[in-house]
Amino acid sequence: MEQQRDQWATKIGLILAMAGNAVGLGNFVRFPTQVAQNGGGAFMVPYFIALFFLGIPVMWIEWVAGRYGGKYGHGTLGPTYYLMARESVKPRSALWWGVISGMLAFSLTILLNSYYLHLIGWSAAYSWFSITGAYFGKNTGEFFVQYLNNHAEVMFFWGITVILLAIAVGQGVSKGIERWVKVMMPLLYIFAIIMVGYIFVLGSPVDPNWSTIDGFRFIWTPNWGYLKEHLAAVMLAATGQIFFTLSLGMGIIQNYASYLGPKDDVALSGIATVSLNEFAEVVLGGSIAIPLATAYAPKIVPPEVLAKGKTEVLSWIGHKFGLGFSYTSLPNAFVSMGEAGRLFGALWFLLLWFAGFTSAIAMYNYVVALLEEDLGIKRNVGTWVVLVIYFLAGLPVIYIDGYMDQVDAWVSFQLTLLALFDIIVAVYLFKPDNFWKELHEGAWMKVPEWYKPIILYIAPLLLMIPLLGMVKSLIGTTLEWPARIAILLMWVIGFIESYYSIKKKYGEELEKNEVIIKV
Amino acid sequence: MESWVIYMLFAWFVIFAMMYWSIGKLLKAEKAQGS
Repeated sequence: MEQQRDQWATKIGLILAMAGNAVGLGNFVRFPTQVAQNGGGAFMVPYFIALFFLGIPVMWIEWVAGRYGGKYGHGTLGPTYYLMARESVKPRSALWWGVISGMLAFSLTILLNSYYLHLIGWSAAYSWFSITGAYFGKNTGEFFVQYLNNHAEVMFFWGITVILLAIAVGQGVSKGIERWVKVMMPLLYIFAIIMVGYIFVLGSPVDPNWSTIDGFRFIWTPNWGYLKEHLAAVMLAATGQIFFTLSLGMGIIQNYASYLGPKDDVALSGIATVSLNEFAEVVLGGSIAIPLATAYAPKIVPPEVLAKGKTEVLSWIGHKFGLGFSYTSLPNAFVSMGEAGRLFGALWFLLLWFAGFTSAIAMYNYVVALLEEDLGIKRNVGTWVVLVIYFLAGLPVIYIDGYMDQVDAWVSFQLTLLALFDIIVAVYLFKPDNFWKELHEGAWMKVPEWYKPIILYIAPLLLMIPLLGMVKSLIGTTLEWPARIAILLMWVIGFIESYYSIKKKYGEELEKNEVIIKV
Repeated sequence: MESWVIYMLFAWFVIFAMMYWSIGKLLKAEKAQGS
């Protein structure tokens, strides 16, 4: 039990590592898609509410939980939440809180990666398409659909990505890749800033009625009518995006924080991680794909949809291409740059590929660590086990239309559900006073007292609204059978894995139903 | 200036300020701890 665990050398190193992993396709691909699908300005209102009332508190909760689990030598969610729940209930009851939380985190990581790795593969493909000029002179919407229908090509770029990922994790070259992150990440930021500048001055490249500025207006004009009409759906989308982008509700933050010393700060570190990611998402990610999609809409969208206005048009692109939203809008900007656009586009998509790849490494590492720590499966074997799981989980994305977007919608739901478990277990069962004390242990900032009622009452309430409002339609209509089966299967595997991990380490105290191991 | 521009600039400013404050404070605290 008492094993020596590594600790982070510097706090800023940890923050940059966390931000490096958080900044990825969630900012530049998923965020604009969600904004377009959910009424633009209508989405941003619950998005900021979710950031302030949920994102920041849940980030603190996960940091606290991770550091607490680390004291006992755990970096995974199941055993950590078992230990926290034990503060209020007997071990046998705590077991179930640990098992369900661990199950949700495990299944979520696999489900999310079943399509996230495809997005990384798309980025690799588009880097190639840019340098070869494959989409130049074509309708980028039609080109994207043609690409998805070419299963061999999709399989090739996705397959390369998954295999490279397994090699990177298996060979333990993650540290080397982190050195690359320090070069590639600033480069991505610089490229993104150049893109934003270019987009601001691009104006109306196709039709004077459709400009990039209209895209900014779409995002930043609150659309109260749309919000009122689709309240639960937009709230769920916004809440899910906050958790997705901040890597919350997956067990990854807890895993990182488990390598902290018992008196290392978590309060200020949590805020720093959030703000670095939000800069990449709102300031950069929000200023690229949507303005471009608006300006080039007359080239992509049929005239009858075009006549319905900007909200309808962006919603149409968002629903028609799903997570392909950025891949249908961005290439137009590179085409407009002429020959230089080939190089610029190739570099942009390569950087995007890299950003996604590093995020995927963090998740892959988590699952491998989970198999190693919880089930005693050796790292090199675990790496290949995860490769097979990823491969099988990702296959339906290629062959079943709409599967990716259905699983993505479910991921929003499950992220929100796990955040609710975060609050129930790591705050309520752990006891609010214990949580508050832990949060301030070694803290470099004092969290204002008024955040206490936010964490205790407002956050769970805000989580319940979309969960209760959406569960029926999500399971009943959005999800089709292949997605339902995949989710159920991952839940079963996650349940078994989580149950055995706790039972293995705490078998004796579960048998006696008394707390024996206490640090 | 249109109201959406003010809203956008305000949101950007808050994010910048949060980033500047938290990273600055973190670096300062780490430096103080190291010395």
